[in-house]
Amino acid sequence: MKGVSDIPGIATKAPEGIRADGSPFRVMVVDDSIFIAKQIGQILTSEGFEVIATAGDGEEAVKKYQELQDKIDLVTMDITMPKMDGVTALEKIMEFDPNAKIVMISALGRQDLVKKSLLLGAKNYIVKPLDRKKVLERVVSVVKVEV
Amino acid sequence: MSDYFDTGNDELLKIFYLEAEQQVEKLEQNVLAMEEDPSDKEAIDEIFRAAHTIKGGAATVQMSELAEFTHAVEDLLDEIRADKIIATSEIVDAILRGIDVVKAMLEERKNGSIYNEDVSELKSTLSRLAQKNTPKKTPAPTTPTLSSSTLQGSSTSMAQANSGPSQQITEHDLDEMREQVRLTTNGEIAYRVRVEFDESNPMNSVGGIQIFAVLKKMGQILRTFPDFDSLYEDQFFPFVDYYLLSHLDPTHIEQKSAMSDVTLSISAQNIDNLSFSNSANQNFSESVHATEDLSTQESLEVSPQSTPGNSNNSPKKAPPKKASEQTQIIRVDSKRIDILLNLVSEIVITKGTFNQISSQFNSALNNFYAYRNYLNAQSKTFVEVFLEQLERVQQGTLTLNDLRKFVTAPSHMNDLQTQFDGVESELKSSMTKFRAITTDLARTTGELHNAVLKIRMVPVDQVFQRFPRLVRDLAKNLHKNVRLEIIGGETEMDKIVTEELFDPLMHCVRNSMDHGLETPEIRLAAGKPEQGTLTLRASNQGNMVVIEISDDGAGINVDAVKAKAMERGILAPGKIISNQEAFHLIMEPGFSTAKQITDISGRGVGLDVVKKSIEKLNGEITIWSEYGKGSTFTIKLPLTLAIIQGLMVRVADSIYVIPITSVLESFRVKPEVIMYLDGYEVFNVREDVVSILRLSKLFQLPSKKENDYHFIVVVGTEEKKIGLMVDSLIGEEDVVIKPLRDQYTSTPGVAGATILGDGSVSLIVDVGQLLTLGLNQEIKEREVAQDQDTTLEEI
Repeated sequence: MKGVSDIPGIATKAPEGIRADGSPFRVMVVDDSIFIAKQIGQILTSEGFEVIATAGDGEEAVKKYQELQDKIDLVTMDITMPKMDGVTALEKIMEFDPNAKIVMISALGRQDLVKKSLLLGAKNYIVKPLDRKKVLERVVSVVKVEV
Repeated sequence: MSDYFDTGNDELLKIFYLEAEQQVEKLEQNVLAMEEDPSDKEAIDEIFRAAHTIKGGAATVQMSELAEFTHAVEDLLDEIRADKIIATSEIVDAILRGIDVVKAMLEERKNGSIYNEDVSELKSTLSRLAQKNTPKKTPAPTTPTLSSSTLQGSSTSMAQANSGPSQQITEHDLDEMREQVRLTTNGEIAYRVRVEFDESNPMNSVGGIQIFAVLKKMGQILRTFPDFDSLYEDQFFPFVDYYLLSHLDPTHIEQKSAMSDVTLSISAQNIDNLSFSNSANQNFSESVHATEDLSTQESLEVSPQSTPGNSNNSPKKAPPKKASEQTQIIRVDSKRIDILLNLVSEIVITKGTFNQISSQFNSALNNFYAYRNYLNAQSKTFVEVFLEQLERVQQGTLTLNDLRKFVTAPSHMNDLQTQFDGVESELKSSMTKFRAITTDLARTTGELHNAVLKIRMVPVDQVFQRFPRLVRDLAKNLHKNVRLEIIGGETEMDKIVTEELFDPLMHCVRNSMDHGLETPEIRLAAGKPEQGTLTLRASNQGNMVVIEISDDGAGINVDAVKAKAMERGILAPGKIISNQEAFHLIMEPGFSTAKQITDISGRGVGLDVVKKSIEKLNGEITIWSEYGKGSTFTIKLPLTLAIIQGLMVRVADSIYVIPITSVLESFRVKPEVIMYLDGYEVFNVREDVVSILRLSKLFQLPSKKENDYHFIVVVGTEEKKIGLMVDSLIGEEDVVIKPLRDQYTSTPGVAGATILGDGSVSLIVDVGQLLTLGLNQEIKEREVAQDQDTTLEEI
């Protein structure tokens, strides 16, 4: 029976989006597609994360980040967006807060921009189409690094 | 692929469709903008973003055919965006064709099936156009952390890059690095971190840079192999060596840079322990730290082409979905909802006031009962006393004068009269309050009504924006040079009306393009600018939205129209009609002045269909034209279909509603004013003769005996009107239209029904139908009359 208890059961597994103290990790979702934003939101909230802000373009993202900096643990940032693209927004946010944790959301085929973002300080990236497992894995890996 | 997206997730799907349609529209608009001005950077960016969004969404909802096709379009767009090719008209055509396919694919999916026409030809056209220019790789930006000195010398040939680590880093290089470490280090150690990458990662070429970014935080990267520029290229390297100067211990470095489905194995070794030969014959299985991903266990043996594992690209078709009843989503400005909530709360307050008034009335009523009982008792006593007194008069103990004094004594009567004063004032104050609150309620419900209607309001631009493309294609087809002008696109109207508006508008636009606007040669010959102008204009006029389609083309030849109409038997020979009436003949069924029948318009069904569909929307269409200068079609539509203002009329015992928008005027006439013309009842309105239709006859209701007066409501348009005879006019009211059940829909002259304030049902008169009904009858009658004429001649 010991073997069984070694494997954490689904029921006993703690939601990934919640800290040991019970408070949720708070996320800002930046995407010009309401569809994708909603999907990311659904995936994250299903694991206990809290989506505390959304932004539809880079400008809005930067503005909201500056307002809510202390409350945001993680940003998911779409790359192609109107007004200001995600890479520029990333750059601005990193300038403002070098400790910002930003995960880029990219479609296939934009490798160059993903690379640029990673060099600019993005913590990781997620490829569209979104896969629940991958999204959580990458977001969790970023958020859990030496909190 | 995505284990998250559930194809039954209807809410997400709906959003996807909504968004995809918006993006397609955006795509089309901006492609046309780009055609106008190929250097319009903003339009090009917008096009790219739109295509990109569609692709991303399609992949997520597992519409692989759509994602794949959009990707092909995107490739071409990417080349344009990168200024590698210029958007020629050939390219614009190909992109527009591509957009059509995307639209068709979306439509098929919406209907629950999958688009299965062959698009390979278009795809190859797209890729041929994209390849016209040999693409150049974008140069990698130099990173601030890498000094050019550490980078130089490693720009080696890429020929062997894919065959694992090679001997490109020489013993000499290693020595150089060791030297550098000795000179600069403060306890840091130089490691060679050898990373094996997972090729099955959909973005496998990113890994090299991703690990670079991670390692950079742990120390100083002296050098990489392949070099940084190569890593930045879109190329996959199964192995990359990073030479890292760090004070962290190797295990820590290995652990921190391991990433599931990016790295397969990582090993960090002190470069002091490396020798050139050692490096060349490196066995990768040594000191390999597997990443959390279980699949790495199998790939410990060196295999650059690691199995594609759980490839994210494997196409998995979504099971075909049944075309379910699609509920419509309307996007509403949240401010509009706030207004609604505000109004509802006002109504709740009003309800409270009504409750209060109700209890006031109740107490007034109770007081009234009390006083009435008191009054009854008093009068009873009075009568008793009076009788007693009367007896005494009879007995002679009381004089008649005394009795009179007793009766008129103010004490009794005054008392009785003032009894009701209290009740009266109580009722009066309640009544005043009641009136005020009713006025309030009327205002609030009026506002609420407007606010609810506003929710359904969308800008007419949603329809107008489909025209630039249409006009462009048509102009190309017809070899005409046409500029489309759109004015007042922000005018709002009911969503349903907007949707129903497209077809009639399209017919009008086609008509103008085909018959109105001339070819450039003819225009120049007529002294007009070569480019014709077609204008779509929307504006508000009270409760109506007015939409104009005007062109500066050839205009309508009135004489040709009249001749044709007579030839077709639409117009009685010799009948004199105004130009205005002549214009409207072109909307008669079976009328067509075009010499040739084209596939664009002129099938002879065009404009009469337009008229019918506009009338179905409770609207009207009028035509104005000046020969040689152009024509204007004016469509007037109600803001909403759900509620109309109606004129209530009584016919026999029933009440009918005539839409106020079609009422011109109403008359009260004496029976002798009605004359007979061709056996028809008519009457004079100023200079016009208007024929009369008795609603009682039409609806076969028992007609009341002749009254002293008849009421006639003149309906229709200035050009074409008819007088409806009714028994009396009741008044105007807002009525909510309820559709009739199927079995009644064929009843001529009835557009729908409504429920009146007292709960009874009233029918709404379909004026458009009545007009045609009257006209048909007239034509029939004339035919009969003509037949009679000929028989007479024969005799």
